[in-house]
Amino acid sequence: MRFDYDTSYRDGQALLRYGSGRAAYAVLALLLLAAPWALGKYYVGEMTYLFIMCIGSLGLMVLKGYTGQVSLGHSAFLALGAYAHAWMLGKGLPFALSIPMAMGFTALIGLVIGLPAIRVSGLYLAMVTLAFAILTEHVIGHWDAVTGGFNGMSVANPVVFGFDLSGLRPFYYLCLGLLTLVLLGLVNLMRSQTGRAFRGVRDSEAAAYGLGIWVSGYKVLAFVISAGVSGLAGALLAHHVRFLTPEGFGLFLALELVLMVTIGGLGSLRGAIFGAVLIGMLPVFISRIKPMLPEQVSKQFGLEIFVFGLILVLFVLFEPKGINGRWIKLKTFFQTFPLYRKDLFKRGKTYMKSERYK
Amino acid sequence: MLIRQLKRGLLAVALALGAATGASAAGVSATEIVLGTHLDLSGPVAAGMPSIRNGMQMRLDEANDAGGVNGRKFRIVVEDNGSQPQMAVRAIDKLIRKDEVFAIVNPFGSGPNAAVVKRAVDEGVIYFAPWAASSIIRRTANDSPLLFTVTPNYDTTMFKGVTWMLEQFKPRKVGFIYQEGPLGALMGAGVKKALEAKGMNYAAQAGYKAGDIDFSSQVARMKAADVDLIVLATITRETIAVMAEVKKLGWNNVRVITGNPGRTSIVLQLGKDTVEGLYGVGTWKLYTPTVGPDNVKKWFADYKKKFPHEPDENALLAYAYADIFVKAVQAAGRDLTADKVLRALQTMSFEHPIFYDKQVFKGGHFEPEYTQIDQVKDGAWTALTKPMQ
Repeated sequence: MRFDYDTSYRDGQALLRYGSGRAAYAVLALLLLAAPWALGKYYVGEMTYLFIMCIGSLGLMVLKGYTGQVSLGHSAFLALGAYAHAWMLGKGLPFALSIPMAMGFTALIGLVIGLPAIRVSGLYLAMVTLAFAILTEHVIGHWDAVTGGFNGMSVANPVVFGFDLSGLRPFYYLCLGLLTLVLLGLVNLMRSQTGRAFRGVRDSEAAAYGLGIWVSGYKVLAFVISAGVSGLAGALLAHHVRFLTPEGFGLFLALELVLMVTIGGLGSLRGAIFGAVLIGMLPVFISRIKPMLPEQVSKQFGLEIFVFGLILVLFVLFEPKGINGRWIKLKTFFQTFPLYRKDLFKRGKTYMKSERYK
Repeated sequence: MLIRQLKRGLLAVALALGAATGASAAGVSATEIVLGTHLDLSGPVAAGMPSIRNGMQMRLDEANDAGGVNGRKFRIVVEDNGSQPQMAVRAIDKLIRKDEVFAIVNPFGSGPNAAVVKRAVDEGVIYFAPWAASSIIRRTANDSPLLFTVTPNYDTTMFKGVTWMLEQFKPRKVGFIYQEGPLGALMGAGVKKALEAKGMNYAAQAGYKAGDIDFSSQVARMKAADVDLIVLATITRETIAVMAEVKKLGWNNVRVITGNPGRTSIVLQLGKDTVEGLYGVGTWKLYTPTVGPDNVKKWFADYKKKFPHEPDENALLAYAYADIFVKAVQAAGRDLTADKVLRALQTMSFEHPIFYDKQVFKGGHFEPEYTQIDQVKDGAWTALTKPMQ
């Protein structure tokens, strides 16, 4: 067991309070920095893709995990970010300017989409966002003059101050750097007043309202932040795929994102990362174990989707708090050994639906 | 991975010492040529993929059973693209960076191919016979000499087909049902050109998404516009679904014509009575296990022995394309490089019963292209025209 012995207020505010945590993250940072030099080309490319999905997953986590607003349409924000970025690059805007502008653009769209979110929630919000995703895909597919329509649109290389970052390693570091920035920004945001307000809105709108939190304002703000971060993921994804077609941002991507945050563990940024890595690697993992399976199983088509569904069902049944929940339980088990109790994480108070105002 | 890299390194050293004439291109070792492909194994058109994979596998196995080509055996790595560009990107990255393939052969899907072809040719990998809208793929790859397209251009073939229909039947109003994506866009360009040449325009247009199964609204829109010719930019299942819808409405005074992906014997097998009367723009010969020259009948019989499902002409086509590639590798000789295969593909001519004529690659595209109009009569595709060039 560990007991906090703070000698100043700063101790309590530190991101990583303990030496062990700092050491673990330092090792992780070193490993990630060294990875492109130690791993094969293929693995570096895959890790870059995972970093981008992590950013996308973090974007949705702000909305779904922290304010409890379901969005089945986050693929649209990725698409908007990707196309806006590619379009601006095509018009000759520098990369360093185009990225924040693409983020700003998607954030603006997030504001517009967030406004109806004040009025609807739950299933209805899911339907609004789903419709938004389908609409966006359709508009992108038919607005030939700007998006190239279904014939697609090629993406210019990322060039920062004369350096071409499209190479395997430079792009890896670019994505790693931006992921770190996003993660640090969100971690700090979520422990600030804004983050606490988000969680208040999620847990009980009535209670939050009673405490003087501007519920609708924070709901829309979550949409704006979430859309902006997703736009960044989209812009990076554009460089990763190098050729944009509307099919790439369909409902499959939206579902993948929802799976990432749900399986990772709602309400935790670490969970978003866990989920993105697991769901992102799953197709590769499945194709790897395929040769070991009996012929009748491995030659079946649609195995991937089956495994996706199976994992989701298993998590919903046995670990609703996701991978992050399991991780925290494991950690606590070892930290408190042998005092761990089975219902240590049972929530004392749960809020009823009727507590929502409206 | 490490061992392979080590082997590669050793080979390179051996080469430098002039001791061996082993590997001289990615994916080629002294005993093996690694090929790759990406098909839709989990997405909307997954049901059609075994034909393509098996057809190709059959030709490569034949080459291997005959002792390989110049002592090297073929190995093919099949990846899933799920008809998703992102998945195709991951598949191609794996094929190029991890399996280090010599060439990509018979990859499937307009969208996935458009998303990845540039990646492959930029890495110096031969991209052979994508099953996709050829001119879009060529444009995306900046007409790279490493790209060899075989699928007849959808725009020019549709132009010829629709022009013929317009001249033959003089329809008053023409409607167009298309799959959203490169396939529909390209076919639409050809149809539009044919209409404009006759001073006409679409009376109605309706799109659908790959994987859609209900076409009642699209057909209803055609009916509301009172068209008497419907042009379909559809693949197999959608073609049948549209015809079923037309028959359901009891709509008799309308002609329906489908592009080359819909003019297949699978449409007949699955559609049966519903596709009776359908017109089709054909760009290769049609065979069935009972109809065709002896060598094709034997091929169908061999296929049935080897694989647990019914052969179709996509399998035969995949076989024919793989055959071209194997012959080009053969011609490139023992000292195999990508350049030599390119030269062989560019200079040789190729024959197979499924093609209307002797074929060559002109500017990387398979020529000549023939277009023939067929109609389903008594459950069989019956030629209405000779192959038109």
